[in-house]
Amino acid sequence: MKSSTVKVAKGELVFTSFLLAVSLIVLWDAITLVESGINAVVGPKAFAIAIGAILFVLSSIQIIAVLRGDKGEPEGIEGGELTSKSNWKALLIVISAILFHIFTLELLGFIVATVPLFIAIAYALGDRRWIRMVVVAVAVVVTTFFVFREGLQLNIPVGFEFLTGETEIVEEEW
Amino acid sequence: MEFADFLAGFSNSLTPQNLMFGVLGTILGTLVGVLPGIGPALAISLLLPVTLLVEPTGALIMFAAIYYGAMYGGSTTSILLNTPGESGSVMTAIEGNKMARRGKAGAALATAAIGSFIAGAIATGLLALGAPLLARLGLLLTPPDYLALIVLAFGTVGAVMGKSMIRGLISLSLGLVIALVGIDPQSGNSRLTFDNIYAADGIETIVVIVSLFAVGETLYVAFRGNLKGGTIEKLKGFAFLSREDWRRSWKPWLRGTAIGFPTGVLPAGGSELPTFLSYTLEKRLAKNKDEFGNGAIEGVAGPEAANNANAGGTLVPMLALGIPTSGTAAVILASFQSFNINPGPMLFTEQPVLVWTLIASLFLGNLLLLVINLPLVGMWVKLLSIPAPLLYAGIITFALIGAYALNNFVFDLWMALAIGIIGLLFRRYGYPITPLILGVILGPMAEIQFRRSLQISYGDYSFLISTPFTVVAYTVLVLVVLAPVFGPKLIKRLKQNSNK
Repeated sequence: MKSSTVKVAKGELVFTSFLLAVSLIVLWDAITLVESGINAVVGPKAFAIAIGAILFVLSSIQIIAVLRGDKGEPEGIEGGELTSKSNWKALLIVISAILFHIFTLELLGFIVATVPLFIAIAYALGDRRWIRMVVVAVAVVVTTFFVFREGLQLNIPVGFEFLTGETEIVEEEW
Repeated sequence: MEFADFLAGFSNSLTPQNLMFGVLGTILGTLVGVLPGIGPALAISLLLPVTLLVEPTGALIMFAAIYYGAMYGGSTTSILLNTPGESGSVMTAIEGNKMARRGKAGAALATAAIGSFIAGAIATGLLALGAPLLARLGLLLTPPDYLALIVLAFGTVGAVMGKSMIRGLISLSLGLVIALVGIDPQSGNSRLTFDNIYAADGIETIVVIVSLFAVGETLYVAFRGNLKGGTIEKLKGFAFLSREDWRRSWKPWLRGTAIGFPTGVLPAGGSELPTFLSYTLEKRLAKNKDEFGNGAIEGVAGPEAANNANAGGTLVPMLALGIPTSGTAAVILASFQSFNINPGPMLFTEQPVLVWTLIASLFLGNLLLLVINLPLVGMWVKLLSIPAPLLYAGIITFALIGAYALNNFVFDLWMALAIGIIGLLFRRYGYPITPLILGVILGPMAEIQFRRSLQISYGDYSFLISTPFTVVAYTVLVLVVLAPVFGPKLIKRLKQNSNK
């Protein structure tokens, strides 16, 4: 703290407030919980209240620290260097690609959902050699699909079930 | 008799299947140690959904071998590339890379590998001797004692990890919150599920780990990173030690082991602390102090021995008490649990063959690692030419397929994204990740001991601090938490006084 004007890290303040909000939700959830079942001496409430309270106290202390100018030191990057400027574009590309994967996985299958994800991440992290990127993406994703589905017998979605008309039993709408 | 169990374990570790898993683990471990962006904890959690199909002994052998292997592999990148692949190799990079620049890469790699081998062998030996004894002591612990032990581990790991204590403790608490989600098995009440049926089963531990490491790291690198391939120092000839190097290395190896093993057994929060201590000690003991900072072999030998001994040390409380003291040990504990095997005092009596096979495999794995690291180091170096963006894309692909394949729920993918964003924010604001994972894995255990204690005492909370052990544990905890708060102020005051 150099002078009377303390520079508060706004982003960190928002994050710390989020942590405080989480603690309030935990406390509210635990306090409103109606204990049922056998009369155990201590039900599921006590431990949850304790954790909520601990997080509440810690995040409150931390909010005060942030307001007084405490700043978290960003972690280093393995195999690269930390940039001083935030790259919002790259971050949005990666998040959108994961969202695309989540929305299309069961509808269009693992391969269609994952190849664009692979390419988007490689692009966002700075790869610009398109041909190599696409070839590697297709090779990795298709191999993974067959190893997991055929080799390990795991139920990885093939997709396009709406075309055959045989819909799976819908478990739950989203 | 334990010796008979040990022999049975040794012969069992030599079956073709178990040998194969051991070899696979050492190779994968070295691989993840060498590659950036993927460490042993993430590698094991990525493999967990797949290994649930195989028999537990083989899978656990592989995981333990990955843990040891990553400690070997990390030194290679530190020395040749000056980028530590593992947090335990940060200190190695300081002197190791300087040695490589002076053309002594071979000696640096050799002292790292041989030191790791010696430390690993001693640590595994101490593990074989110490863990059964500790397990016997563990049988004497009452529920309040156990709770105190877990809380002590929480407090020290939370306080020691990372640069700021309060951030470590918040990280831990958030992990405990995540562990609360779902139906409480004892009463059937839902907590923090918000009537979502997928949340009723709780948030999968594997999803939490995979998302924090893989998704969180990728988001963070996209947001704030600049992946540039560094310059790889050339390795001339073979990795070997001259007579002079041997003379200078053997003491640091033993001193590193002496620091690394106990700090692994105690909840000191991973391999950063012991490697740092070892480096500082070697620097202080060095006769030629000018050489430190310019490639002193002692500065590689000590920390490398320390991080391997540390890995062996963390397995002692993990196996004997069911309490992990590092992120990777926590993930190995979670993998035991997913096979319905509970590490802890009963493990040595309930699963003697499994434990002793595991320990015997560690001896074999350690030897194998020396073999695959010394002559084949050139091959591992070639792996460094894989472009990092493609590597991260591949890691995310495996992370998401693993998260989905656990239950075939898209819900788990939403969780992966949400927890990944928390991982990003944690990295951005300097919160350590390991305490959160410890909270997720040990939280349910802490609650069981908490409720068991209060059931015995009919709700009397004073029972929680009724035994001598609990009093000692909580006192130590208070000291550990208060030391960094008042310690620096005290030192400052002393310095001011001496200046005056």
